[in-house]
Amino acid sequence: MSFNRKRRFNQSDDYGYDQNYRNNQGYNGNDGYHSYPYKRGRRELPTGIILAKTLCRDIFTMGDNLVKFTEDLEFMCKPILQNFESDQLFRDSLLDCLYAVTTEQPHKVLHLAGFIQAVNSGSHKIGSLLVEFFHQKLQDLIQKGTNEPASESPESNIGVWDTIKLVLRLLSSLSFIIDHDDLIKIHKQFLNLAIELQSNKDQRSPLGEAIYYNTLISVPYLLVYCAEETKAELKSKIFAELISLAERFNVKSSAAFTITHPYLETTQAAYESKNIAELILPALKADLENDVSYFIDFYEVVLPFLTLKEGKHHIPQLSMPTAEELSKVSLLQNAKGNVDSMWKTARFTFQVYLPQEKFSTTPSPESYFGLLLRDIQVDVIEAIEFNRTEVALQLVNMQSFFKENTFTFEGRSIESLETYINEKAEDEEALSTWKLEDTLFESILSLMYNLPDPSKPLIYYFTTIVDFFNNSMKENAKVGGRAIRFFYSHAHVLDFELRMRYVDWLSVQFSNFGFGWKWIEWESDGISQMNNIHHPRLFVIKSIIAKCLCLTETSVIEGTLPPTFQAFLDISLFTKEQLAVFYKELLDGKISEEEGSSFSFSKESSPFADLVKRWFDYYFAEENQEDIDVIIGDIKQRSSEFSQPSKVLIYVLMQTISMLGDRSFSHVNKVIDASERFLLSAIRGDSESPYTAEVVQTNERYLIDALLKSWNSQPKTAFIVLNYLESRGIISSSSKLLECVNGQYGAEKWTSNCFSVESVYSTLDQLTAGEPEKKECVELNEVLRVVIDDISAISEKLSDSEVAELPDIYEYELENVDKQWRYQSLIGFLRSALRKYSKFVNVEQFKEIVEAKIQKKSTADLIKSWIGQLDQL
Amino acid sequence: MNNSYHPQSLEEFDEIKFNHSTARLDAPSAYLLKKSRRAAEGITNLRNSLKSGTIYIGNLLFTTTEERIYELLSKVGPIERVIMGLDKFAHTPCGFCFVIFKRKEDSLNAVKYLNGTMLDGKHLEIDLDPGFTDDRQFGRGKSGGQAMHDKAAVSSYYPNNGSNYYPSQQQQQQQQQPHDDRGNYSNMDVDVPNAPN
Repeated sequence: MSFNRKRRFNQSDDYGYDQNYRNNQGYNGNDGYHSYPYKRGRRELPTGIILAKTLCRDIFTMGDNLVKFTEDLEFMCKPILQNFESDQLFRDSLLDCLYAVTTEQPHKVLHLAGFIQAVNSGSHKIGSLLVEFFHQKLQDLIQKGTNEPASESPESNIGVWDTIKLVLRLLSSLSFIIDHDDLIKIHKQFLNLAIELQSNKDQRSPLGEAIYYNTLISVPYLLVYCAEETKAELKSKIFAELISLAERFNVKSSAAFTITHPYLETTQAAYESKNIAELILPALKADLENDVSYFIDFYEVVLPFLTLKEGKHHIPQLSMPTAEELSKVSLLQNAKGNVDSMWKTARFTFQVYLPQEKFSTTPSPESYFGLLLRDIQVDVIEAIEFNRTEVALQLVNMQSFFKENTFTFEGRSIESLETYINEKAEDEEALSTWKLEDTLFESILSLMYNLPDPSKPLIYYFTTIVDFFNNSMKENAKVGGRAIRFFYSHAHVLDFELRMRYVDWLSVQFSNFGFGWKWIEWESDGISQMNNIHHPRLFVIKSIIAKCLCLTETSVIEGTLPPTFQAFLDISLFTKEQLAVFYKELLDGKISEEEGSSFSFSKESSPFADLVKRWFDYYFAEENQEDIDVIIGDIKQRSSEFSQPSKVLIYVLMQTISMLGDRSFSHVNKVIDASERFLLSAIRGDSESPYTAEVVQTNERYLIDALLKSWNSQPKTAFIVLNYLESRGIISSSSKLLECVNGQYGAEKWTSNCFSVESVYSTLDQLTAGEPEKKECVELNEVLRVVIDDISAISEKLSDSEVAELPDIYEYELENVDKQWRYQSLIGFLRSALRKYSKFVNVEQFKEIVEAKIQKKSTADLIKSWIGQLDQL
Repeated sequence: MNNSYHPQSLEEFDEIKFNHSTARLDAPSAYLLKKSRRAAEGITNLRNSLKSGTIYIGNLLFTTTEERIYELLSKVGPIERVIMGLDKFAHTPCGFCFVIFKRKEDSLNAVKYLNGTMLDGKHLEIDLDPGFTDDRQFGRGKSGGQAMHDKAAVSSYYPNNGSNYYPSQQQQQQQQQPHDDRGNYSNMDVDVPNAPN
């Protein structure tokens, strides 16, 4: 927003604000300005608040335009110089505002520093108060970080230690008005603390690594507002005192820690992930030595406003805790849902837009600027999580916060960049080929794909991307398209859990843009791999279509698909043949296979048709003609005529309930509520003669299978109703999980169906939710046992080389190719389950199972290597 | 019923804060604030809306199913219940619903993350809600659906956005009933619209 100085301050009185705002009516002198009675029309607010509202609006949008920034600087300083000391409401509001910009919009820190330093030129005293404020904030934050930070603290979005980084960065940027030695000392304090925390050579200190990285990445900010004549001296101090100290920090090697890599442990991974804590020091040294800065030359820009009449400010050293005092929090176990929590495990580089042959569209993730840019973007995305549209705007506007020509122009195509590079004369200095939109899209995706967990709910990243697209559809659609294609082409090496996130993301993305996608590009994979149901690319195609079908009418999706993909609109769990065989066997051959393929207990050919009709009449006839207990009693009686009476009874009950409530799942839920006692009686037996636990579990699994068969063509609804049965206590989580991974549907192909995989994850999520301490989860360990059994069985059917290596992604004819992909998906699930629920795994028992059951050495070694990494999660 | 207009302070919701550099999207909407300001227990309702775990979703297509709402909203967090808004006569969906989350904080996340996004080709209007009570699932319009649809029908029939429309005495009485499109606040004092001059 532009700064209208005439309107705001030109007609100001002695205090610097507009005469029109001087009406003090209604202000009672207390600072409870919020407690004013509401009045129609304009509310009468204290003048300090009115002034702060006007000024803060400009501070929040500061720097969006560099020319305006310098124009406005003087006029923005004026009301501060006139009111800061006299008006407490104004002062408090302004300080809140400055702190908010520092911690929520880190790309504006240099603008903010310029502004504060310009204020200091007008009043050394106010400058001193501002420096003291941020110094005190830093001290308070350290205190907060030493104790366990409250989850609802203002810093909870990015974390206390990340906030410390941003405040330190602001203080570093104030190097024109703060004594250099004092700033260096504070940086040294943080580095010394990090070194002390990491003094144990065997174990990685998450907090130590976070402080080390956060301190180093802010160091170049010391030089931005430094005069040329003192820059060399400051730089040599940085090398002598900070870099040499940082070299004593012992970054723990993360070479063997691979379980959080986004790609599997294979040579076919898209790129080599590197630990950013290992990269920062060499990158910083190279940056300082080469004297390349991507920051705007603020010293020159703000120089006309900078004077040092009364010398520099001195800031005292911070009161730092000892490593021992931080021992309770040094593992960051209480950091949750923020940037701090990402440091619990080693953080790795994440790339989507890999370098082209002759140029790159993003700065190298190993360079200082590459690390800083990603760091700033991640902080913005996490800090302003409460306003996703603003996040998208801030990211897109980030270009104006770096030196001109740091990035190429918005929306430039890859083809245009290629042409430029090819046609450029050899001796001509190359302009930047970096695309800002690539870098920020990569940053959002890095958070969406963060392992072991994303810091915010995934839907936040999905819809932020939607807003990012909405801002500039034409330019950003291509950027998004390149990312979608990148993950698709690497689906076979992408972590199993990330593959599910990818599918979820695309379903939301497509839903917001009319479900349009160039499916034709993937058609050849879809055709060639049609019979290899575990093929990762086929899984992706089928899952996206299945998920989109849950978000709109089938006809809408049908219209977007090529003819060859129309078959994927059928998302049934069981084929007609399977149903025919099943029902014929269930009813002792009393129906033909032909009838069984579309069997329903209400059909005339069904032995239960008359009873089901009576049940329907009970629900839908205007007058209840008979007692429901009598009807259920008759169904029970007739079920006893079959060889598997309990099983038949459960299938009749569940299928009829599904039919009675087939309008929607809430209708089913209502019928379930009404029929709960019959279901429980069928599963658990009567109170006088209850079934054994084993029989109960078998019956629960019959009920689940009956439900899946009833909602065969709408598996999503089936799984929602399953959740309801589970929440009502009619079935146990254990039975649900076992049926998913080892039931009539699940036994062979559950990893090829996104709904069953999703159900397994969500059930385990609920079972392990809210358990901060390490605790065994019986259901999880049961699932792991079944998965190990499956891996063992399938790996026996494969050769050593087929197990050890990924199959060729384009291979579709070889006999074992689908088995190989099934093996890979089971292994992939295992990797993700061990990582995701590491606290709940009975490690000793699991090791024994692996030892006993996995015969293939390469498989056993891989699983054991993951087990060995669990204590680092 | 008291039809007098008593706008009141919404205490912490009227507070002017500078501790964020941009507005929070999980705040009550202008609609909710306006309604609360006029209701006897407005501030209580408003506070409840932050911790009820319930949201109101409007602007749904009439053919949007519970399953679709479940599929999208369950990405925010586990859902306790979806209550479709129904035409009070036909008992068919009429363009709104309530979603109750198992975890209370997820209702705030739903407003933050999903308000304005699309489902079935329509931009969702998601707002916080003080909590679902029976009968609120029915449309309050004269036609049985949402009152806003009645107004839209009037606007499209009468030119000039319906501003030439003078409601009959009976219709004026109906308009004075304490209701809104969300079937909210039975004890609410309403700002009675007068016939145009």
